[in-house]
Parts: sequence; structure tokens; C-alpha cells
Amino acid sequence: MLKQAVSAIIISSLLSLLLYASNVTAEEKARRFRLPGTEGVVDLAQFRGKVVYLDFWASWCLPCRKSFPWMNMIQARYKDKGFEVIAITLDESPDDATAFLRKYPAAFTVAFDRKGKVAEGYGLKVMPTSYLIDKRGYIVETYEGFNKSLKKKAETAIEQLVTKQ
Amino acid sequence: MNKLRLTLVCTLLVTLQACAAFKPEPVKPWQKGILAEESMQLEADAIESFADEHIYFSKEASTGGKGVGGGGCGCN
Amino acid sequence: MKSIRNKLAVATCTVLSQGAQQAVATESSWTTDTSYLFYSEADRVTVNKIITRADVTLGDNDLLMLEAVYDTITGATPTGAVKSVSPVSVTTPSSGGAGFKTTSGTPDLVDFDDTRLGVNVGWTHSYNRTFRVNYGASISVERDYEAYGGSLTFDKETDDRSLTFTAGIAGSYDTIMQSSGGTPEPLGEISANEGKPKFFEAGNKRGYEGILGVSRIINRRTVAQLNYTIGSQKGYLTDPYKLISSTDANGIEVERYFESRPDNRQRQTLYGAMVHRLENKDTIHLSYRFYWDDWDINSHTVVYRHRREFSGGSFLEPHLRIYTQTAAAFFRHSLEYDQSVPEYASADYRLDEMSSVTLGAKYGLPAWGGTLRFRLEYLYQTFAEAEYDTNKAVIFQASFKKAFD
Repeated sequence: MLKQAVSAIIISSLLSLLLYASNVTAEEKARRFRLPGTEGVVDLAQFRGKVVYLDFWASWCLPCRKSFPWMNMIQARYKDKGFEVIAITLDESPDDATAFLRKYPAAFTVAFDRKGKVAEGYGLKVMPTSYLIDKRGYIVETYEGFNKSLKKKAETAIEQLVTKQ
Repeated sequence: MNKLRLTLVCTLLVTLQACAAFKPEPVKPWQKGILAEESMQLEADAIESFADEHIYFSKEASTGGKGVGGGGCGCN
Repeated sequence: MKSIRNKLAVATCTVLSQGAQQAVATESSWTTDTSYLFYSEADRVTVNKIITRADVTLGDNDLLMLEAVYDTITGATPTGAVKSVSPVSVTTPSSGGAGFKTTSGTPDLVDFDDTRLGVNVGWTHSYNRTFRVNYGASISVERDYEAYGGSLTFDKETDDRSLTFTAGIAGSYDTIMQSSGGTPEPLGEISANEGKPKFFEAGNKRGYEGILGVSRIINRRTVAQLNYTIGSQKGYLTDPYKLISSTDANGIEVERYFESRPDNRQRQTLYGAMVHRLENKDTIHLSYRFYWDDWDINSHTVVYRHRREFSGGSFLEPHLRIYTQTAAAFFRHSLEYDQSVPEYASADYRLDEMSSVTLGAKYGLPAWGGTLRFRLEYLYQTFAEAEYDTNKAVIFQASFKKAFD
């Protein structure tokens, strides 16, 4: 009787610990999406196994103008190490987005989320917001806005992720 | 009497329409494109407001309302 | 005045990349705006003003604002004395006995020729995505007036940034005098002491002000703001150049005095504003301010702007402003010669019961990588009792704004 009780207690404690541990370390899996892009369909599932920098932008968002040259830079720097930038535009009129791309060209994947459904799923609070997604498809970092300190933090995090196996 | 009724109905319709335009609705961050435009700012032209405030401060008895701050002038 | 006031109104809306709405043109390293203003009243005062302003982004969390204004005022302005000259008054061409130059020796208008330099600075620091603090300071110097002020304002947004709360305080310290260096005895007779009325040293006044405000994004096309301000001034609140006549039954001046105002003034305002984008893509701005103080002055101010944008980036914005105010308790057209002189009295038209209408339009267009704006307005004021019962003025302003990286 006592032996059984003790076992029960030990097992339930371990289970609680596991549950607690999993809550603390639970990462959010990046929600899958399929969106039209500038060059065909963009499906997040195709990027599994690569580190992804997922950026949500719009033509009227002023920090986005600065972020594009930087995203070009990191795309070029880490592409061969299994890294991709995906920039999703939330412009309701695709013309606004293409006009922006003419002024600030993108050497990375661009997709259109006209209705904001994907953005809704990611729950962004600020424009722009970017998510750093690891090779397993989990969101490791969320960056709100765009500024100098963000650039440094993101570059460091990307560096770590691309070298991890 | 008909004219009055018509006027009242029209006024009511216009007011309702106006209220519909001002219906509160939550705005998602990616829906702030219009709000980001310069013409949509509560103070779109700071230098014009500054000049105007100075003019009306010199010509009227009331001051302020939009913000708070120090400074003055002996404008007559 | 109004330098920091103005800037802080901007700061509550469009600072760095925060604000209840997305900021505009703040991702550039700096923006400059320079303006020339011309204000001219029919047969009276003319003002030329040059304003220049720079907004500089420092790092990720700081914004610096620097503004300088240089203006000149020339021409004649009503003193409050009646037009019909008293045979009793002592006049010399240069002083009219009142310590200042009068136009052709009559006391009802005083000549002005003064220049002013003012500087405002402001620093805004974002402590986090939803909280900012603004520090402001201002200095204004002219021959007969010095003003110093400082302010502190806090802005806090809700997490989704649909609502912004503002709280601020400001203080000011002004020194006032006639250009000769002194202030006249309140309600002192011009003709006293054989035409040499008593003068005291320069006057000082201290002001305090507080603001509580909230701005809200109502929907994708509408923003609204509501502010409450309260302020008090203590010290020398009189205008050292203003006069008041005592007249006989025929309205002829018998004696002339310097004016006198209380040494205390408490005021409050309620201000509401809204910006809305119409279905036809025009933008309208509507605001209303109610002001009341303990000098018995109440006023209503309504402002309406309607902007229409054209292809190519130009815009036209007609503007209408309507203003009415009640008279100050101690405002009088003139005193009666056979009545005793009250404790406070002023014939300054600006304290009279009056209404004014301003009608004009602004035109803006892209030029040289920035925006050029021109506005032309007409101001018409009518006064109930004052000796000069109307004022008409033309306002012209040209400005150029450009952002740099």
C-alpha cells in the first residue's frame, strides 16, 4: 500500500515537472501559410530546414524603407548557410506594394497578404514585425519595429541559428 | 409642415450617416495605412500652428488648449 | 508664446515611430521646416516673421526639436485711449507723456518698431514602445519683453496603441516693461506731475499650466483628441503701453490714464479635435475649444479644414476659423470723468467682447525633394465697445519642409 502511494506521488510529481518544464520552454511553431508571391506561390513549409527571417511590412510603413536594404544584406550574407528572408506585404492594394518594391528593390522572397489573414494568425501588434524561425519551424525571436539595436540583435541571433545543427 | 418634416428627416439621416462614419472599430496594426499619412495627423503642420497661435495670442484674450508650455512675447 | 505648446501637441501625435498613429517622416535622420510669415492689418500693425525648425532623430529612442523665430513688428496699434484728443493732456511729439511714441501726437495709437528672437528646444525620449517623456524649454527676447519657460509632458499608450494618455506641466517667467525700462503706475494719470507720470521698475509674471489629454484612434479613417488645460498667472499682467481715457458726456477725453489689470488670472480650456478621411479621399479636420477664466472671459473657437489632394502630390486646403469671446470684467471703453477711478480698468480691445472670422486656403506641392506650402488668409474682427471697433488683416505664409537621411 505504502509502496504504491509513494510510486504514485513520484510519478505525478515527475509528470507535473514535465508539464511545467514544457510550458516554460514551449516555443511557438510558426504558423504555416500559402500566399501569392512576386514569383509564384510562397509556402512556409517549403522552407523547413532553413533559418527564416519572416518580415511583415507595408508600403506606408516608414521603418520598412530602412529595413529593405538591410534584409538584402543579410539575405546575401547567409543565403549559402541555409537562410531565407520572406517579406510579406500587408498592403491592401498590390499596386502600392509593387510601387514600393520599385523604389526599394528586394533580393529576397516577397509575398502578398492583402486581407491580413496571415498577420492575424501571427498576432502582430506593430508595423513592421519580424519573426526569426529556426530550422525546425519554431519562432525563436520576435522583433517589433526596426532600428539599429534590432539589426545587431537579429544578426547575432541569425549567426547562432545558421551554425546550429 | 411637410417641408419641416422633410428637413428633420434629412438632418437625421445626415447625422446618422455621419455617426456611421465615426463608428468606433478596432484597427489592426496593418490597417493603419491611412492614419500614417501626414494629412491625418492631429497637427499636420507644426510651423503653421506655431505662427497661428502667435497671431491669435496677440489679437485675442484666450490662449492654449492644444498643448502646454512656457514662453511668451510682448506682442501688441 | 505657444512655442513649446505647439511642439508638444506634435509630440503627442507623431514622435519617433510611436504615437497613436504611425509617425510621419520620422525615420529620416532629420527634417527641417522653414517659413516666412507676413501679417498686415489695414492701417495698423505689420509683422514679418521667419521661423525655422529642425527635428532630429538621435539613435533609436530620442528626438530633438530645435526651433528659432525672428520677427519684426512695425506700425501703430490702438492704446485704448479715445481718438478725440484731450486739451488737458501734455504731449510731446516723441512721448505723448505716456513714455512711448505716439502717431502724430494723438494717444489713441502707439507706434511699434520692435524685433524679437525666440528659441525653443525639446527633447523626447522613449522609454519603451508605449511610454515617452518630453522635456521642453523656451526663451523669447525683445527690447521690452523677456520670457522663459520650461515644460514636462508624459505620453502613455495602450498596448495596441489605439489610445494615448497625456499629462504635462509647464512653468514660465516673464519680464515686462516699456522699452524705456519701466512700468507705469497702474491707473496713473498721464498729466500727473506736470506730464511726468510715475514709473516703477519692470514687472514680472509667473505662469503655471497643466494639461490632461487623451487621443484615440476611432477607426481606420478617424482620430480624435480631447484635452483639458488649467493655468494660472501671477504678477504684472498689465500691458504697460495701454491707456484708458476718461471722457465727458460728449465722449471727449478729459483725462488719460495707464491701464491696470488684476495681478492674478486663472484659466481653463476644454479642447476637442477630430481628423477624418472621407469616402471621396478628402481629409477634414474639425476642432472646438471652450475657454473660461476668472476675468469673466469665455470664448468659443471652431476651426474647420478641408484638404483635397491631387495627383502629383499637391493639395489644396481651405480653412475657416470662427471665434467669439466675452469681455473681461474690468474692460471699459472709457471711464466717466465724474466717476471715481476703479481698481482695475482696461480699454484694450483684445479684452473686449468680440468675434472674429478667418477664412483662407493653403496650397501645397512637392518641390526640391520636400514640400512647399503657401497660405493666404483674411482675418476680420469686430469689437462691441472698443474705440477701434474692427480689425482687418491679411495673413500670408510660405514654408518649405524637407526630410534628410
